[in-house]
Amino acid sequence: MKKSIRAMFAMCVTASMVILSACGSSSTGGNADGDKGGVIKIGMSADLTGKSALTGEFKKKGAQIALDEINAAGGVKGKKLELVVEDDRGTNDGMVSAFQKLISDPNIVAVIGPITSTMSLSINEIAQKTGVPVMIGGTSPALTTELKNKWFFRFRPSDLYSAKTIVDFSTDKLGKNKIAIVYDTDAFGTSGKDMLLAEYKKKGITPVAVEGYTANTKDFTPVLENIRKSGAEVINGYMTLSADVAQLVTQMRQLGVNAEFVGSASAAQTTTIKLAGDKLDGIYGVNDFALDQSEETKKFVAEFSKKYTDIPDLYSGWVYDSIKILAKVMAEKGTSPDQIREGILGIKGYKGVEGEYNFDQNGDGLHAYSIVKVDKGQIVTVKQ
Amino acid sequence: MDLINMPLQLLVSGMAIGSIYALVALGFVLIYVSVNVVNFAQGEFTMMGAFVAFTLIVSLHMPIWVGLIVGTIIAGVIGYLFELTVYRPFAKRNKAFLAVMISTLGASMILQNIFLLIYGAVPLKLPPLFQTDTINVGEIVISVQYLSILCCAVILLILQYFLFEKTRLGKMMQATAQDPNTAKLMGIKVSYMQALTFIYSAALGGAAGILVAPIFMVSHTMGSIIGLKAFAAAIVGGLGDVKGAIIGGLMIGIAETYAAAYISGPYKDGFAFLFLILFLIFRPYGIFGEKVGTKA
Repeated sequence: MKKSIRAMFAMCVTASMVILSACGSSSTGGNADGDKGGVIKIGMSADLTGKSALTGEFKKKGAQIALDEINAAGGVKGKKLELVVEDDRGTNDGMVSAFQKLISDPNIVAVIGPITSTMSLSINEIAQKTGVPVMIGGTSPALTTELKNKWFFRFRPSDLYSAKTIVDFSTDKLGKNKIAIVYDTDAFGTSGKDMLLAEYKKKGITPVAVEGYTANTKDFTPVLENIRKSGAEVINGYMTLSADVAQLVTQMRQLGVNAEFVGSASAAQTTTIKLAGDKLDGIYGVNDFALDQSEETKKFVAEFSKKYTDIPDLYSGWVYDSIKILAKVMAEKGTSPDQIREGILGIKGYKGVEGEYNFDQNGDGLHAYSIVKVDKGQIVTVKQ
Repeated sequence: MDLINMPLQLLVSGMAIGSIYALVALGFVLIYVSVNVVNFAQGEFTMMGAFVAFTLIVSLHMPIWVGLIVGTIIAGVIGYLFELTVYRPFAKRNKAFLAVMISTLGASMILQNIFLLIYGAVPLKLPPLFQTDTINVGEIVISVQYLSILCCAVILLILQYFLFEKTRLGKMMQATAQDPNTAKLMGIKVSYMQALTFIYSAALGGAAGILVAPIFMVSHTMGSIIGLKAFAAAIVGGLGDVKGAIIGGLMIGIAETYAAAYISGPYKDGFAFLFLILFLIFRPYGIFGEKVGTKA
């Protein structure tokens, strides 16, 4: 019940923010700089309702910490930062309408966008036309390299790096070359499988089994029996849902399939551990956000748990970084779209909670994943 | 060795997952036999049972067995409310079965979203009913949880058989289904019988939900996944036949597991429905269904 009340509260807050921002825009008129009246407004879409409402909450909390820190330190050039949150319901159409609402306020200088690739894709054209800088967390490589959207800036490492990290770890560190790939047949899993295959090809390795499944599969016996038959020593999982990872690994242990498991970002997560318990011990995952990966992260985690008595996850980390970097850039360069773009692309060696940011010309900030291991129910970083 | 073990292991898994379909299919059959409509929210009874059990066992720290029994009773109460709000307002209409079916479909969506709002989207874990996870027979691994589901399905099958065929109450329920008006003339309290049917069916669904929750995880979508396959199982079994529902469930479970292993994993669900289509073409009345003239 608590969650529904929280969701309703969040809806009320959003609604009041919409009303407030509407009032604001009518009184200040069309100010392209957007930094009039002592505040600088940043827009943010978040899944406040719908299937992924929990992730929206983490996003808001991560943003709030960044905001509080910046404003406590005097804001940006003496102006307070203000966050305008719109509900994107975790869907593509919800994202489009949330984004349109945000950019219709001329005082909003930049938008913190979605974490999923399809939602990022859904606002690509509008973002290109309106020229508002959008910080995104979608990890499909094409988002920056193929779309050529100069207003997209990515604050999480693209899947190219995750596939490469999985492959390098499985072969070089674990020293195995009999590989099985298990992938979700959705867009994320399929493209992940293709990238894994491409990386293995570079090493001259052909996986001994490649098994697809549809989301929410409950019985993985057919997949696991085929893997057992193939004699694979390592399973690479490119799986979208943490619940599916929990299911697969649990049944893998029950059926006695002895292979290492190295999974994409959904594998070694608190949600997965909650569902699979000690069955998950010993698996590896590539994470863009690990609680103990750096001093910056540890500080952020401490701050987060002090404030919300909860532990942040990947949904909070990149949002925190993007707001901090935005504030830094706006303080150094200014708040116009071109100044923000120039500033972000100039970021080199910035130590954020997600890792070290070095923006390239495509707008990609991060270029590496951490390898983590689940050890006695804890996620620990194995290799930076 | 693998040549023998793998098909056997797949058979065990297929029967296990099939027994879940069978259990839920029983609920479909019961309502179909008694009030002559298909209840599309049958899967949601399963989901509600699992959530109720989760609240009782995990949030309120009740012992697992108490949770199972209390959960089943609460599911029955929900079934009565369901009958009052979803079935009864439309039951008296001309061609009521259409109105009721759409009404159950709507109820299924509303229920899913209510539970999404209350419990959130992240699946929850219910502790297993038994301490031991699996037992090994040779190299074949059998999940104790699945085994208990299979046993429950068989027990419920026998119970339901006796209820319908051997007791006065069952006969009254059957009579109500076949012809409510005549049943009324015979002195049967038709509305009691119908309410009873929904209570029993929801309790059955709820119990199924509690049994499968440790395997399927508790989420607002769990009902629709199981419900659809169970519906297919009920049709394969000849919609309206208790034995048929069990055998239909097992057949679909085994067929999809073998097809997933030997033909294609991603099309697993597709094979389940391909199996249903083949059945509809070659044996439209199901395994145990009889060729009957139009009922209306």
